[in-house]
Amino acid sequence: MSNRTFDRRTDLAKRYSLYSLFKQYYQGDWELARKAATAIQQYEPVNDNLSSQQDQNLDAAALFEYNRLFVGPGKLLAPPYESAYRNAQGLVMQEETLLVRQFYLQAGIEVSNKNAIPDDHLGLEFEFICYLLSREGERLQADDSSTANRYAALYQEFCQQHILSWVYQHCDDILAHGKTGLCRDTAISLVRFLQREEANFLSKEEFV
Amino acid sequence: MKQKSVVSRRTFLKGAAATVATVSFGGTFFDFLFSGLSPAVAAETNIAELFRSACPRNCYDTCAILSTVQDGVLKKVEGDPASTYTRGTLCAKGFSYTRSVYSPDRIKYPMRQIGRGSGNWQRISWDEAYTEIAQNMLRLKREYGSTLPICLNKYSGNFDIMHYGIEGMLTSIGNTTRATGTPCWPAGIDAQTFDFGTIVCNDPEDIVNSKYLIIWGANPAWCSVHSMYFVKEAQQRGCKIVVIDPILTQTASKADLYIQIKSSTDGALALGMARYILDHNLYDGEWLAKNSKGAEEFFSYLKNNITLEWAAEKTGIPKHIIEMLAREYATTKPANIWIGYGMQRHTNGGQNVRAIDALAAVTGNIGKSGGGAQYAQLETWGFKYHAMSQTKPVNSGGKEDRAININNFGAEVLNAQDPPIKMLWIACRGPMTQDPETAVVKKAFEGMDLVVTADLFMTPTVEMSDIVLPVTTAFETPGVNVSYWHYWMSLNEQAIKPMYESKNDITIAMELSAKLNELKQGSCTFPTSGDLQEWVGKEFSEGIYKQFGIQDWKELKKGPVKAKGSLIAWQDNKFRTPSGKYELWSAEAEKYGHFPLPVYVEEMQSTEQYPLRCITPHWKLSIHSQFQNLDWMAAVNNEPHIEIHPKVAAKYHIKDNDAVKMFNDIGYITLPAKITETVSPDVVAVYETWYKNKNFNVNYTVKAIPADMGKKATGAPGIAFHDNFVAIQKV
Repeated sequence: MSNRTFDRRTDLAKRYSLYSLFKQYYQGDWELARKAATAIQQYEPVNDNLSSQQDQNLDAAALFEYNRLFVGPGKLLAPPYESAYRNAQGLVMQEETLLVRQFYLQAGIEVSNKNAIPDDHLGLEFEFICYLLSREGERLQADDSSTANRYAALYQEFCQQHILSWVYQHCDDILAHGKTGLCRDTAISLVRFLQREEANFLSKEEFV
Repeated sequence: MKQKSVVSRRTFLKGAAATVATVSFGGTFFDFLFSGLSPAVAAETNIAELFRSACPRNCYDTCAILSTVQDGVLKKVEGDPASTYTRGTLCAKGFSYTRSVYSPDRIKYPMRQIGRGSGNWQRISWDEAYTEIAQNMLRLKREYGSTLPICLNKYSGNFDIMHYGIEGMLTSIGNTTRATGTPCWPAGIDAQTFDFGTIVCNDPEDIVNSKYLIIWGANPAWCSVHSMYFVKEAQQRGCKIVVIDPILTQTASKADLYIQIKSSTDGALALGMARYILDHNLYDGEWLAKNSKGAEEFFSYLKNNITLEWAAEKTGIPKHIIEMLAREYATTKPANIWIGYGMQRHTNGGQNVRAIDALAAVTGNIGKSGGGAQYAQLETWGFKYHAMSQTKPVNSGGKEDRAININNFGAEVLNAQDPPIKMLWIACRGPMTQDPETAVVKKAFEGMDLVVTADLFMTPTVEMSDIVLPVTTAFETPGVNVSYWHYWMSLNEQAIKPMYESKNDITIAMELSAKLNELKQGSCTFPTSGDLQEWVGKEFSEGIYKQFGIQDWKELKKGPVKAKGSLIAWQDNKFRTPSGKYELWSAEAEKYGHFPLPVYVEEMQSTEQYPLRCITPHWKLSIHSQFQNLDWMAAVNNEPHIEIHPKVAAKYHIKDNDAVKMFNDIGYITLPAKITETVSPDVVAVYETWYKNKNFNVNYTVKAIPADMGKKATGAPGIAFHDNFVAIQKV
């Protein structure tokens, strides 16, 4: 195994971990979301004024805010659905959602509770990425770099076509409405992480 | 065969927990576990499927809908052409259904609010919700010796027959308190009950046979759009259309004659017309002799008490117009009157309806195709009410259910004693925006131990709840619907899977029953399981099958069906009154504290302090609190207005779009003015509806003044919504 492959695997593992945490932040119930948010700060720390360390004791405030942003029962201030941003009328389960469904299907994946949770829920989109990255890692381990590269390409395509087309805006909404360190820091970490991913895609393209 | 794809939330979380462990302990991505996703088991299906749906709203039209579903996604809704009433079209509200099903704002999960009204919500599992609710129910029962402290307020948000199982759920825990009555139409129901014995109307498709049609205090162009086809068709066939209303409505704009009447004086107009008809021998003496009771007394009353000059003075309608109207109505056969719900929301509303009914009787227009006095019908509602009919657990305390007046809900909750009311279950309703005296309703909510609301969207009522339960839309659950106007019955097939964690109210009842019995065996009799589709089937009675000419409810999957006969009300002249005749003189009315004859009862008068009558009619883009919150409606209009006649506006120096404070002794609202001659100078109009994210609720100024009638047929009088007197000022 070459060093380069090893580096690629180390890098992949780190990105995978972050995506897992973001997935969990968006999918889990509050306890898991809170733990994920804390763990994210270890990987992708935000040293802004509002530190999540400072308002650990504002746990309840963060919980209520998390629900106001992503869960309900009121109008969501930062809906975690791609179509809520990309559909001209902001609905869920529209053409934009079905494009995500088709993308999953292309990789042999579907939403378990199909048609009850919109396919383009951010937690599911992150899970899909985790799946692609785990496949990539597994193939690398097996020295099957051509398949690994296919998964990497699929990830890049999904990220560029979907994640990067709306998640920044979604994070803007969190920052516009969020007051607690937990939700704000997680959004900032997510933006930074995605920006780095985006930059990597660009540098790879330049390299090619 | 597709593998069962329902992943419980627990499984979802187990996957997530596994991933966090991986990360926290520096594991690798080999540990990837699916949580919300899974390997695909079936290819995408692009075949469009059609489902039959039914609009379950509190609306005349109760449309038969065709829903197009592709790969489990509701793509389109359209009117079902199989119904000759719906005729393949929907209204703007109906066409917007995909917007409510797929609104990102839907309530998705059971949630608990920490501090009623705080906006601080936490997500809970259904099990947690049931546990908290059941524990509270059992605690209240222990503390007070019965379940009477638990109060249900459920009404017209969903008129699917199976939804009456919500009442059944409360029955199944014991004696409870029930918000009883109906807010918007009881005065007219009682009036027709005194006159005819009950409410029955002609098939609205029969309107095409009318030669003269008076639409009296109704606005079908907004509130029953499918009826307008028949109105226009009648007009094309030579029928004269007359609209009587204090507001020049959209319907009035399409009429041949519009008469602007002083609000609440409709009875005076009807009696003036009757006097003219009597004086000119235009009445149908033969019909009256054969089929009515009290004609002599009625005529004597007209002769002694009613003059056309008086009627003109009262109503603000010139005498010669009343004469013309009376002459035309009495001499054109058949002549039809559509009595709206708006005109009976007064302290003399029921009495006014009786006076209008009398016009139809004295001219012999009753029991005739093209004739009649149409109000509504409940003839097609003879279901078994299987879901509703539950038994009470033995020895559950209390003697019987306690009725409190739904139309004075806040005050009645606050005043309830021995035992007090401590818990509210709200379903298919939004009392915080739709009930009068909002401030009192809010106070009632504040005094509760627990408020549970089942709803689709965050509303001011949900804001004042402790637990909110997400419910399904009509497209996510089976049901069956009939109308209180037309004679069609439509099956509502489940077209799509329930979104998120939403559940049908009946499923909620079953699962709550399981929890109650788990905590205390025998505390709830509601079945703990059952197939919802089969439950729909159990609603059908032999009578319904016979009436609609079907053998089995599953036949409705082929399309809606129409009642086979009795489509012209009272054609057999067999009235359901005590005398069996049409009762111009009603001893039954007298028994309920009214005049036995349809005499004129003085309308409520404005005062010096509050000189304007505020009427709160239905809005074209909503049904009460429903629909106006959707984006399509907001795109058309997202701003309430107060409509003011130019003369009134001039008096108060109010210009178009000026902010106006409308107030009385119980509250105020501030909203922009719309100066328009479409309202009469004695009224201002504010359309009742709920706007999402707007601080607007006209009910802050509406008092719970009872209408004159409603007690006999519905258990409580209606609300005199349109007897709300206010002052206005420019702010």
